[in-house]
Amino acid sequence: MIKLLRADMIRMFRSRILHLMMLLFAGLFFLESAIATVDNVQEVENAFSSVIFGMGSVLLPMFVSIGICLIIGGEFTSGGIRNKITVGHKRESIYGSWLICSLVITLAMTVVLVIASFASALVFGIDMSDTNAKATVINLLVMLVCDMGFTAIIVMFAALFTGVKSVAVAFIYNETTMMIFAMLGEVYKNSEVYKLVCRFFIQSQTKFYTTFQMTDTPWLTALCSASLGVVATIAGIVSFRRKDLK
Amino acid sequence: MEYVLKTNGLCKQYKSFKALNGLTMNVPRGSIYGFVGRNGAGKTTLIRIICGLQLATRGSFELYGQQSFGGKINTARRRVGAVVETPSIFPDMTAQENLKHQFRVIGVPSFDKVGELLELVGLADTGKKKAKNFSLGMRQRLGIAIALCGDPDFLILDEPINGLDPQGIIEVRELILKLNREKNITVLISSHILDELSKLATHYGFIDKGTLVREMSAQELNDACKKCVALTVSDTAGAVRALEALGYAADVGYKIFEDGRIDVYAQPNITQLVHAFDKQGCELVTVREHDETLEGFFISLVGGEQHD
Repeated sequence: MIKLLRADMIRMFRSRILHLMMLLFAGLFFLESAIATVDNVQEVENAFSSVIFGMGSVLLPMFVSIGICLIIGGEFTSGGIRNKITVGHKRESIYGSWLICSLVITLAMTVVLVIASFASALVFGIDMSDTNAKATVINLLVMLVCDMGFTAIIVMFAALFTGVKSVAVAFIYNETTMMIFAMLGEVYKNSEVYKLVCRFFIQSQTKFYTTFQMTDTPWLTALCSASLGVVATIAGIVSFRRKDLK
Repeated sequence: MEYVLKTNGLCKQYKSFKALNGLTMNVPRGSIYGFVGRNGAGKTTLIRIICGLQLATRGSFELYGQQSFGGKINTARRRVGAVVETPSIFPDMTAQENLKHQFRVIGVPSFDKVGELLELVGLADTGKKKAKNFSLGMRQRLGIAIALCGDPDFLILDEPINGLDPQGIIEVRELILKLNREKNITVLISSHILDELSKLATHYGFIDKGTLVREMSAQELNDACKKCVALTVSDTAGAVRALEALGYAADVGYKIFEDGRIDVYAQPNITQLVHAFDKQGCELVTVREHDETLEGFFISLVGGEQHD
């Protein structure tokens, strides 16, 4: 597993896809910060926080899912996966290595988000004096855990829908989930069940982040999201072990 | 004889289609085993199962003495290198980077052998050229180099000469022979290009509709395909006396089969044969010239009709 992890880490972090994804993400962040500054968005606690979490909750999962699917999918299209299995690596080790690398990518993207947010605040002169530091840190951590749970789901898609089609599957999953929660939110806004289900999916957390509200009991949201990630990982490994590969 | 791979009634079913149907074969150590069959006969499926890419529906195999259902099969696979269908290479990497990546996957700490492997497969001068810009033959050779990264004792090559130009075919053939002779690597090659296979293989396995129809050594195949005159006679003992009187030695000059047929090699004078047989009171029933090619032999084994 350590051998695989080393090989995968080096390949992933040298991958142009990842570099491009990080640059594009940071670029979009700057663009959104610039728009927020021009529009003088003041209705939330401050524009800086709103932009971070708006981008973080909506765009970060999208970028992460595309990047991971392209990088893992590349192993199927190039045949790299065959070179791993043929030399005796267990499928669970291969999956584990992909998962760890993908979680590191998610962490790296979150770091890009935070760095870009501070950089854009400096560039555009965004006032950060009103920023609630404690709430920002808690929200960032909850968002990171939610993103990691989401990453586990994406790795499952990438392992099961081999190749580039996993990008489409991940995109459809992300957008559909977001739409479903937006619609259900209109009807079941006050339902406790709806609120509980929302805790499992990062796509349903957007409203909290974009309006910079602290989610109530953030630890529960983190726990729910992480547990969904664990379930996806178990399901992914079980299915991947049985999957016929070409 | 010591075997690297033994399969025992391997079956693989995709929905209603049986890709492998109780396939049993044995690959001797040190051999170049030509695995011959039509497209869709089950060659690639068998290779995928041995490499661990697919699971057999029924049956088992033994690789270096380790059973496929045992926990140590992955350890046995470390002694195997394979190129399944297309070479498994990252197109955005150079040949050297591809090899280094495979060394990391295997866990080899040093890259000292990268240059040696590139030299061996004739890709030492590719420099910074990305694998996506390689010709098919170069990719195939890079695929073989990657398969050799773990210093395997057993190399599995699935249709290694498919799509190669004549020069590429010669290069790959010479490489396989070199690996077998100099490094004593056992090679399993699947192919439907029989003529090319006949220049390499020491053993053959003929597969049709997922079943091994016949397994034989190259010597046995040569005997089966040797130009000869096939005779059917009324008295085999009398025929043997007549042949030996004419100076034909058993097994070299002629061969007797269980069904009573006698193959006489070289080109005998039929008039002399008839006289000699007559002297021994043996009646010559039929005389047929037999000049079978490898293709002809294969067709006679699996039948001439087309399969999908």
